[in-house]
Amino acid sequence: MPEQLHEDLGVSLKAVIIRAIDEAARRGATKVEAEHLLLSIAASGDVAAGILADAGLDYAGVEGALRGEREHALRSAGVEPVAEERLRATGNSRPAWGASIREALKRGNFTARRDRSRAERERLAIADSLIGVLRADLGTVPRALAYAGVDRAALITRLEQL
Amino acid sequence: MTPHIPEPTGAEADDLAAVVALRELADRLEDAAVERAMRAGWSWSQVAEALGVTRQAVHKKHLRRLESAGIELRRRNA
Repeated sequence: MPEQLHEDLGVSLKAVIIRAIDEAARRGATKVEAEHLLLSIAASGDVAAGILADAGLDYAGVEGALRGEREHALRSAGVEPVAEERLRATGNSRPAWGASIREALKRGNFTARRDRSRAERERLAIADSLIGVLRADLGTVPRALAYAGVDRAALITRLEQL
Repeated sequence: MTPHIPEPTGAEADDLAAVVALRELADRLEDAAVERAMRAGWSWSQVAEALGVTRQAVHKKHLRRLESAGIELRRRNA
């Protein structure tokens, strides 16, 4: 990883975060943001991915929701989306950490499970990071989920109950 | 007084999200356009002039990416 993002990431969460870097690079993003972590979690096969899928947010569902948000945001400025082939470029293999992924990991549910065993905390680490992603009230992810008709609060409650 | 939490899809949030989306679009368009021009044989100086930035700036921003893309860069102006 380019630099320290968060201390004490477990093995499974670390793998999900590394995949988030790939998601950002593949999309030509200059920074790894919370939406890339959300995509990576949706593709992880973790219990958190199952809960997302139940809400219509499997990997394709997250991709669609994020695309919808960007199109809506551009249209609000009077700009039509540009065709993907005109935007095709060799990606930057080392995107930097964005503010939203840092914030998501800060808002994660990790400390709420202090009383659980280490193995339990490791098992729920991805779900706890997802709670951090979902706790953002403003920005790309909450907008995408709102347009997709997803109840963010209900998702958080379900994840907290794990 | 309870703190006011703005709607993520309200009018103000739309304006701010448009800034994010336009920045992202401009970044991606720049990456694609610079790559296309360099593949077509443009020099760093020409790309810089067309973008209205210094040659150093465009070089610093895109060299590593274009090298990894295997594009033959014009040495004279590299």
